[in-house]
Amino acid sequence: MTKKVANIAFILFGFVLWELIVTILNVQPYIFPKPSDMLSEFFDNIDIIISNTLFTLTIAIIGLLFSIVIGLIIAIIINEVKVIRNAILNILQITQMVPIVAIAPLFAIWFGYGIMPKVTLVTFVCSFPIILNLSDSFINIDKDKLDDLTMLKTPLITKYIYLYIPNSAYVLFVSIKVAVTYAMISALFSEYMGSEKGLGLLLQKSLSSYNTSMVFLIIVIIIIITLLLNKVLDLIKNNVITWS
Amino acid sequence: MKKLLVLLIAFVVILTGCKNTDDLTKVKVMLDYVPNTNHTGLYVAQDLGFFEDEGLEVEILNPGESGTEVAVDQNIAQFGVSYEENLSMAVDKGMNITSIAAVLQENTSGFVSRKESNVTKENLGDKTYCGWGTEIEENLVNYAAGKKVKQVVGSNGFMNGGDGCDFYWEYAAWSLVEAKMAGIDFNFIPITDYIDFYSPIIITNQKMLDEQPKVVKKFMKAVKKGYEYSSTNPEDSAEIFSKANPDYEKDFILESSKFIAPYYVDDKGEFGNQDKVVWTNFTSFLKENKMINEENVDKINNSYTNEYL
Repeated sequence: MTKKVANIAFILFGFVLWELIVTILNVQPYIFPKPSDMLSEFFDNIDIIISNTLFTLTIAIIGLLFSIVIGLIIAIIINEVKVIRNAILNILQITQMVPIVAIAPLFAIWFGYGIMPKVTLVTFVCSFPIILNLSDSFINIDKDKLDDLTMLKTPLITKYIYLYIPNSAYVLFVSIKVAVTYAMISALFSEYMGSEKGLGLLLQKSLSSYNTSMVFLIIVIIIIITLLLNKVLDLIKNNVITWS
Repeated sequence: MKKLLVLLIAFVVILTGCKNTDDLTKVKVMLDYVPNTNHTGLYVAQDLGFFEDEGLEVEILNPGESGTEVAVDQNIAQFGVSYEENLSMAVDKGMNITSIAAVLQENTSGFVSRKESNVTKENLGDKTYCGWGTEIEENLVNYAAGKKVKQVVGSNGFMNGGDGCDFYWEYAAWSLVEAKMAGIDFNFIPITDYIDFYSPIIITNQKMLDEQPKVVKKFMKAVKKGYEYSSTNPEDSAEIFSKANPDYEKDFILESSKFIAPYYVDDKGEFGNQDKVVWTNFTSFLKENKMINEENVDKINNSYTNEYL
């Protein structure tokens, strides 16, 4: 408890110090805003901020869910068809080296400005750590247990539900945690490819309108949401993985 | 012997070269956007040595994501190319920058759309606008349409098209010429149908005006010469522009230069003059439509000058 209080006090102290230094140095808000500038920006535009945040959050969460499902499916496929395992993993690794700045505008040309290309981009980024970790964990499965199931002629789906996935649950959660960190940022970035809503759009507008207070505010919002998503994930993890 | 001579000549060239650049005052000018024929005068002044004649060494910079106005305000670049609406917005936010010349005497920008998008003045509000996303741009588009328009930021531009956008805000000398050459049918609504303002303009910061007014004068003298030359020699200046920017189709640059040449100067053949009426009208317009803070009206009205021309 005292640790928590100390934590909060420390953060508050940081903000006060920030406010004081910027005030004393008399820096213009378009160069470096004060926490108070950000607060008044927040309350002046609370409706815009909330609606744009919800839009970006929706993209992030849908993209995250897709990447979990797709990640699982691909991990299972390459675990079953071992010949293609290395080839697929190599290809996936290469896709992660493609600079998003280069393909994001093309996504807009291929898929338009709807929500679909944005979710695709988030899925593209977030499924990678899940596939990589899961397939690694699948291959290191307890061979004796697997042999037992194989001898009993257990159907494929049952093998995964009762052996592979429970065994890899911890790894799955760790990799989702990595994916969560990328989810908001890639959702934000996906709006750079052309958008009429969202925090990424608000960020672009604020940058080009010299509204630096809003830029800082958006950074803070992204951090807070990512922290919250992590907390939710921890809660789920602690309630789901009861066996290890 | 021959070798020695070559070496000697090279040495002398290097020596004099060094000496020259040491004497020159170095300044940077940041563009508003990718190089285009609005900037021809700068490249001409550079190429024909007008800057050097004034004792200046000028570096032409492309704008960064952070924006030209703030770069000039912070003296990262001493000069910049901007627009009256951006300068108004920036001054409203507290920047100390001033417009020292209008690049074009008439605002040639406007809303361009493909014929098949069927955009007219009457139905602007029901169409999708794609732009670059400044507050003031958004407000101006909404004003023109008479209602809140669906606006997308980060499009691929009018010429690329195919991105779900109906209309764009572009310069006639650039996009319209390009569209004509590509055989694309389009509609064009000049921005002056709604409101007139200077676009683009050349800006500098208060620090330069206070501490180095002579450098500003010299810079503007060369720039003025560059644009006046471009105005009377569109073919030559297109050649010079293409030399500095080889990425563009030469034919297109030539057509664009011919189109824009008369707009660089007023009816007396002079470059750069800004009319008080245009400035104050636009500021009043911004105030009336609550696009700027009322207390900054005077400051914005005073953020242009013809003194350095």
